[in-house]
Amino acid sequence: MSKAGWVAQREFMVRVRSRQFIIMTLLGPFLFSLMFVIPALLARYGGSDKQTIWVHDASGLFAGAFQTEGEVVFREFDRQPDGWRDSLKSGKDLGFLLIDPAIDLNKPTGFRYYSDQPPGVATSDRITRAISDRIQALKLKQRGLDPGFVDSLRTNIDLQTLRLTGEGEENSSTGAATVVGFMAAFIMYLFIFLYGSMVVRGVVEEKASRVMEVLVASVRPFDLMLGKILGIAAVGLAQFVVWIALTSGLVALAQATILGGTEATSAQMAGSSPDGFEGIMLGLGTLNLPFLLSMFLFYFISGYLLYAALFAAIGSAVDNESDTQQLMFPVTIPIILAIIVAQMVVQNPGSPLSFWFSMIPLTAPILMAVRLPFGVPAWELALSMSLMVVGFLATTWIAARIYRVGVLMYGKKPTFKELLKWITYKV
Amino acid sequence: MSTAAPFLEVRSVVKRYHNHTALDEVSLNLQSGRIFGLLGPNGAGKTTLIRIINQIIGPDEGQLLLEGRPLSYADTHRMGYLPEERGLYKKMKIGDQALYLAQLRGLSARDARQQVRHWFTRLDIQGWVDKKVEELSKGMQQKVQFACTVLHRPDLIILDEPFSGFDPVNAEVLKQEILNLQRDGATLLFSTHRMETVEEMCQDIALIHKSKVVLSGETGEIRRRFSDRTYLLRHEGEFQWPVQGVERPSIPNSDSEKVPLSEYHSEKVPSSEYHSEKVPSSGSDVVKAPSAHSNEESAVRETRVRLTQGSLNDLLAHCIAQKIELHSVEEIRPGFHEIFIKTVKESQP
Repeated sequence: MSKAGWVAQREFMVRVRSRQFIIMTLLGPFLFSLMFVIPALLARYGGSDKQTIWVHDASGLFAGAFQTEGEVVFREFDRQPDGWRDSLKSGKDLGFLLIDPAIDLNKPTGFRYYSDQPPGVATSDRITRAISDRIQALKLKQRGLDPGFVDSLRTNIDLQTLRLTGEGEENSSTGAATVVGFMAAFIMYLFIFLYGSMVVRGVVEEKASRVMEVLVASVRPFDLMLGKILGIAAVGLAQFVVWIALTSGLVALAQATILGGTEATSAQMAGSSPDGFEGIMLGLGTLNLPFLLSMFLFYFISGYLLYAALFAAIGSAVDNESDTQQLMFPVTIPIILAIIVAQMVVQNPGSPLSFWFSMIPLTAPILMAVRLPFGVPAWELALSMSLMVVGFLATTWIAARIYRVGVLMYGKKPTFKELLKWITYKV
Repeated sequence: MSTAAPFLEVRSVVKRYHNHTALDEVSLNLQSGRIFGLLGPNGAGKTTLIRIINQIIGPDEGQLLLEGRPLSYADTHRMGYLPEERGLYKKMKIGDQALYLAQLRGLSARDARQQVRHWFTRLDIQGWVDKKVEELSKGMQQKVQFACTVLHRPDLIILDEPFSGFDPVNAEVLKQEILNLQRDGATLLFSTHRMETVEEMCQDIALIHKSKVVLSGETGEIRRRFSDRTYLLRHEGEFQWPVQGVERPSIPNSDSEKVPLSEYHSEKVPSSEYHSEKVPSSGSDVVKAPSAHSNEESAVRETRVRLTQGSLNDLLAHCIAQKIELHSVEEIRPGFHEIFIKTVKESQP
């Protein structure tokens, strides 16, 4: 076995055997599955958001305008009861909507809503919508138009999004692409940070405990760095595989037992709009999953290698862990930038912004994760992947140059500028 | 120094850092099967040289030859290195750790396991194999680290301050192990500040000061070279001063008071015996020898003399003329402590 192999093996074995790893690996899936199960349970057994809104319409214009829907119950009453303010103080989930007697349709004012707590966005939306709908209807009537006719003018179009590719048309689902893209980007971000900082800690540990001097006498610094990066990558992959397997197992178990039935859980997971969620689930079918997964894996691995090398270089430069923060900051900027740009990329996956940020190797893994489900032209993908390979070879080279100097340096914490200078040093 | 081809030759090695020269034309020869002492004040360049020999860093100029061939990376498997700053993985079991380091030095897993068992038993740390370094005492950690240095049967062993951190009992164990390794044919390089170590164990030394080798050679030869013709006379009868061509040596470096007299060693009297005489560092340099009788008349006295001119025979003739009965005459050669300080002081620019 090559020396980098021995180093990687040690990194893997030591970490996988550590109590922290075992606890995290086993506990993680429980926490993840709780994230699925708890909302479902809450929706099923937990307290509902039921709210009763009493409407006193003095103007008489809004009779029947407030329709009870879902958890919000509207009750109309004719006169203002005396003790309503007191009942508000004692009652929970209670609201009073008071409408003034004189309402000028052109300048409608005089709607007041009282409640023990400020109303949620959904409630206040529903109230204002009901009022404006009724005012609109009243205005139409004044002009002699039939509100029913106006309603019929409103048409709901279900836009079927198709993408033209070389092989013909393909269905595409924007919803599914967004969800899948963001999830992949987030996992990538998490992985780079989680395991990147593990690399930093590992290098700092070797330096701080002074075992480094013995190590570099037997292993070339480059092999030592590479072994550590690969060993930790293996730890990360192992952990992810266990997490995914255990989480899906636990969720399936929860569905079969406490939740009973797949439908309920899926619907609850998507929150209040089961249609949207189902749309996404259907949309998933339109994505080329094996292709996407292999692409994700590529960006996942190359992105990790690229950043892990830089993190290793940072670890080599300092004597103790507390000094790493300041040096890590410049390296984390591109990752954070990528996450910010990702929001814009979702709006417009084909924009020049998307293009350039998915070419730069430092931001490409996250940006491409977002773009891939929307479909990326083959030449762009090929170019980005080649740049990615060039990128991680370049950062590995630079990092190795810094590393071989850093591992022998003790004392003053270097500045970022000094680190760059180390690249040119002869060792 | 022996004329045989050196085991390791360091030839005109130069190492520069951006603002200073760490090693300036440094040349050394390590003879096979001997212990070589690398001396020098802090910051002289010893660690840089040790790192170059270990191929942790490369020289800017010059060459290193192992058995006449240029040193290659594969040769690291033949080297064992105990750095001055000791360190092992804190949270790793010492057995696994030793196994790992042995494998990095090219041992097969089976060989490594066998060697770990052998050395751990030998150093009496077998029972601790499954303990982590952080659970061990400092001395125990030192033993583990020494075991890790020699597990892979290196034939060039580089020890930077080997005895620091060892209590006297374990230091003795370590010393015996080092001598055993030497007996088994290993060549050793010590970097040390302890002159007793040099005197007890090293056959050759080099003194590096300000990036240059300022003194090197075989230890006995160097001490002869530094002899200032000081003799210890054991005699009965009074010395009458002044004596032509002879002076009473001021106690060595008595001007600085830094070097105790006990640093001076006699060639014949074993140092331990000599030290036990407790020569006062000030006042009279005439003391009662261990063999002295209680009888005042026949008391054997010790006198130190330094010849400023003439030969030892002239002194002996003088003693006979003065009716001084000599029991013994011993040459006192300076210890390495004094040689070290003298050389470093003289080579100050």
